[in-house]
Amino acid sequence: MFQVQQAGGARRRVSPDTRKSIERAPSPAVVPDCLIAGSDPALRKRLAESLRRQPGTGRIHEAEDRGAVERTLTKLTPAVLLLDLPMRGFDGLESLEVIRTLSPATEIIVLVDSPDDQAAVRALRAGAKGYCSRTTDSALLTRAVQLVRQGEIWVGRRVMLHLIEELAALHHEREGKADDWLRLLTKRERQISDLITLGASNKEIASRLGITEKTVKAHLTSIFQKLGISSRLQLAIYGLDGGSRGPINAEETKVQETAASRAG
Amino acid sequence: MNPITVMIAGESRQRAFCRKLLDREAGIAVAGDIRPGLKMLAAAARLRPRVLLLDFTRLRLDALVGLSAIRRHSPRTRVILLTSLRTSDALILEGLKRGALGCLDKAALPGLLPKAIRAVSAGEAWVPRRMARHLRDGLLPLAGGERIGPAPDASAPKGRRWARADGSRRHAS
Repeated sequence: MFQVQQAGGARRRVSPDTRKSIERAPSPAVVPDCLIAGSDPALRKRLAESLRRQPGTGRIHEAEDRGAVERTLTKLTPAVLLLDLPMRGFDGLESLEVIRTLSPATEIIVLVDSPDDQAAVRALRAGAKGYCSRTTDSALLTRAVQLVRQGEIWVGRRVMLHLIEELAALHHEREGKADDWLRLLTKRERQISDLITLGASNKEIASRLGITEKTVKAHLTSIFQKLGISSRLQLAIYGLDGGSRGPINAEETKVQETAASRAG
Repeated sequence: MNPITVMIAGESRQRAFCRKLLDREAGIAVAGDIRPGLKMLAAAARLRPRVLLLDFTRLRLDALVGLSAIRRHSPRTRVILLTSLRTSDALILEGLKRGALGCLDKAALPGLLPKAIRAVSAGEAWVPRRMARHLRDGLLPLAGGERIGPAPDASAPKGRRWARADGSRRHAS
C-alpha cells in the first residue's frame, strides 16, 4: 500500500498519477449510494454497518436474492454494488451480464468465499471492478468501494500477484516474438549478447561466464555472422531495442560510426 | 532461521540510506550494495540475494535491460523497484512486465521497506493498489465495440474513461 507520511499542517506530496486520481475523485470521505447483495444476512449487516460508519455516506440498500436485486436496479442506480456470489438466483459470473444490462452505470465488486485467480481475471473481463474474499476486513471493503467509485480496480494481494505474473508472461511471449533475432542465437550467445548490451568488455564477459576470452571472441564472431552485423555497438542496439527494427538500426549505426571515424 | 538476504542496486546515497534502515532489522541481512548495471548481474549471481532493491527513480535504459537480464540470469532473486515522485505508472508497469514483484516510493521507505521485503520474499506482490487498473488494461485491451465502463450517464463519476461502440474513447466530463 502506497503511503506518504504527513507532518501536521504540511502538504502531502504525491506522485503525478496519484494526484490525478485524487483530483478525479469526489471528497474522499463520501461513500456513494451502494447496494449490498447477498443471501447471508450477517454479511449484509456487517458491510452495511461498516459503510454507514463513514461520515458522508450515501444511501445503503440491501438485496437478499436475484429478484430483489433486479427490482432495486430498476428503480435506482447505486454507484457501487457489492455482490456476494453465489446467492439465491445468481450462481456465478454470468450474473454480471444481467446486472450490467440492467444498470450499466453501477460498478460491481464481487465477493467470494474462496478467491480464485482465474475467476478474478474472468470477473474483471466480465466488467467487475473488484474481486475479493467475503471475509475481507470491513474497513478495507469500505476503501474498496471508494476507490472503485473513483475508477480504480480493487483486488486482493494474491490476485494482484496473479495479474502481474500474467502480464509478465504475456510480455515475455510478445518479447519473444519481436525478438526473432534472439531465436537465431544459442543460449550462451544470448547471455553474451545481454552482457554486451550492458557494456561489458570481453574480459568481463569471460570472467562472468567462466570461459576464456578466446571463447568469447569465437562466440561473438558467430553472433555477428548470424545477425549480419560487424560491431558490438550494433549488437548492443539490438539488445536495447528489442530487435524489432534491428537491421535498420544496425545500418544507421554503421553509417554514424563511419561518419564519426571520418570526422576523426 | 536464515535471514532474508538483500542486495541494493542504486547510487551511493540511496544505498547507504537503505543499509541504515535494514541494519537493525531482525531476519534481514544486507548481502551487498552496488551500482545498477553490469556488475549488478555478476554480484547477484555470486551472492544470490533473495531480494534485490533496484533504483528506478528515473528512466534509465540499463535499469530496464538489467531487470530483464536479472530475470534470465538469477530467476530466484525477487526485485523491488525503488521509485520516486517522478517515476510514472507507465515506467512501473514496464518494470512489472519484466519481472519486478514490488515497488516502493522512497518517501515510504522508512516505514515500509522491511515489510515490503518480507512480503516479496514470501512470494507476494508489493505494489500500490492503483496499479491494478493498469495491469487490467494491459491484460484486457479494448476491442472494437467492447464496453468496459458505464454508459453515458449524468451520474457517472467525473473523469471516467470508457469506450464507445465505435471503439473510440472519451473522458466523461
